[in-house]
Amino acid sequence: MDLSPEQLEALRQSAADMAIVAAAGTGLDPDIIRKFFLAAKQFVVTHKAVLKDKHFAFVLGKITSGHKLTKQRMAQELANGKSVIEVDEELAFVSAQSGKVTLTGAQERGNKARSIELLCWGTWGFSLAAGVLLKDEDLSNPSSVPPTPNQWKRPIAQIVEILDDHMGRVVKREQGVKYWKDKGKRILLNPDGGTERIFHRSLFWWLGENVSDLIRIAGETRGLGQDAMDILMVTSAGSFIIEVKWLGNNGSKKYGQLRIDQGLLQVKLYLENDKALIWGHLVCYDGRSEEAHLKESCFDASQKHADCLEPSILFLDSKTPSEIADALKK
Amino acid sequence: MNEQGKVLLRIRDVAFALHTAGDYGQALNRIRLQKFVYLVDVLGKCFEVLPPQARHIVYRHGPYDKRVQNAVDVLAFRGFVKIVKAVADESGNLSTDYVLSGAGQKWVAAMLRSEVFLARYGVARAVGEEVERLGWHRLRELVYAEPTFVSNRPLGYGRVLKTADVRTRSAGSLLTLADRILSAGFPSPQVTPRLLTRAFFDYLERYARISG
Repeated sequence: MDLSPEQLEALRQSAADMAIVAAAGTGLDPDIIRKFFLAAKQFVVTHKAVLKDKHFAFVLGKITSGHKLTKQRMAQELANGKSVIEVDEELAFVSAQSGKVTLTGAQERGNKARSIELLCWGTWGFSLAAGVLLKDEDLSNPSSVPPTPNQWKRPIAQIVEILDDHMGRVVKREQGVKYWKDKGKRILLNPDGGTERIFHRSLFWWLGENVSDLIRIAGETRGLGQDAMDILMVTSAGSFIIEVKWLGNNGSKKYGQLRIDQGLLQVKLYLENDKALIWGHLVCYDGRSEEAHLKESCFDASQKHADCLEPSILFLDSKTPSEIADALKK
Repeated sequence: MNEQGKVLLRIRDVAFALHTAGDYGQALNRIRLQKFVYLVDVLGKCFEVLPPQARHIVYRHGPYDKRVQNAVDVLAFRGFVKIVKAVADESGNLSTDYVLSGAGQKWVAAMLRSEVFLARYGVARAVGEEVERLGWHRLRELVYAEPTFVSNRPLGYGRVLKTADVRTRSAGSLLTLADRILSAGFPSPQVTPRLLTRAFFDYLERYARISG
């Protein structure tokens, strides 16, 4: 559907309404969801001095106790190792359980119970519905700044250029995201949730900010039973999937050329199973040696779906600017 | 379907529109009645209610179907609708506010005992809830933000408003797209007709604000 700029903007604003989108994923009342997110975010901001170093999750419960969650009660539950706090939409306490407060943990929980959740790492909040990441943001510093002209905005059709922009502005030389554990030995970081998540989150954010015809972006979807590392983008022209992989060594796993084919197969399955998808792309962040990058970045064309672009294998440079300058002099 | 049959269907639509508006303490004049019925036609797609063969066209004060006016005249003549206010504007056009009479209320209640009318009535209720949420005074701007009307309005009076035509920039296309946007990524999406209606009205409200 060909939309005017005003229609696209109105649609984009509507799709940014988390309560409506979350209701579509869970079947719950959007007004209740809206109240829950507001109350939970407000609580985190009000008590940020106490909560700033804590990892916890608020889950929207269906029963109301009537007793509002207090700072003291929260501190007590966290001290007892109960980090998953079930509350109602007014933030009345329902129950507290121990549970994973990682993004993967929240996704598994939400996917199983089709629940609404605000996962917090200090004041950084991840809003999820039915295990799908809707938004991640700094709750203590909401982006209330009016939008300014953005020179990096491009339509999704220019995905290769979009990935180049992201590499140049964020990934290269770790300007906006840290991924080396040992630069010299080219060993990548392996944080909780895995190495893939480093690149996934960074790209998810960049695409959300810079794809000009984007209406909605969803992260870490598990709808088709595949690996969770993917990004789904909806535009008026159709839906697009991006699969994110890493290559190299993270101290625990090593991935080489075979990983590219695995990623392509994954994208192929997505495209075959979901007719709403019109296009797919595999992005591999390559932490292998420069030689391996140049010689072992081929892929098995039989694994590539016709609607999947050729994969982007993006080399992660570990040299400092002065090392690069020295190498160029030689 | 012959002309009489088409007017009969509009008699039902007008009765449901006035019944719904009345529940919110609203009387509808002929122009607002046209707009309300138009939105019910548009949203029928979400509830899998087929659009009527009788269609609105682009006219002076927005979408217009002459059978809606015929229907309300018939209902008033038969005593099912009361005219509560009649004022002439500067051009001498008479503006009348309509509400259901006691007999009209009873007739709607009798219709709703039959399942065949419930789906169409459900659409009118959903539209009523949304207009109540956003403000009855905004009915005009909401209709003027509807994509089929937006596309056809510049092309002049008399254009038929094919709201369900998904090959064009219509409400039907937008509802299909909205369904896709809302469902994206979820393992078992729960995009109910009511939720889609809500999202559609949110879109209309935002478009009206953006386009000024």
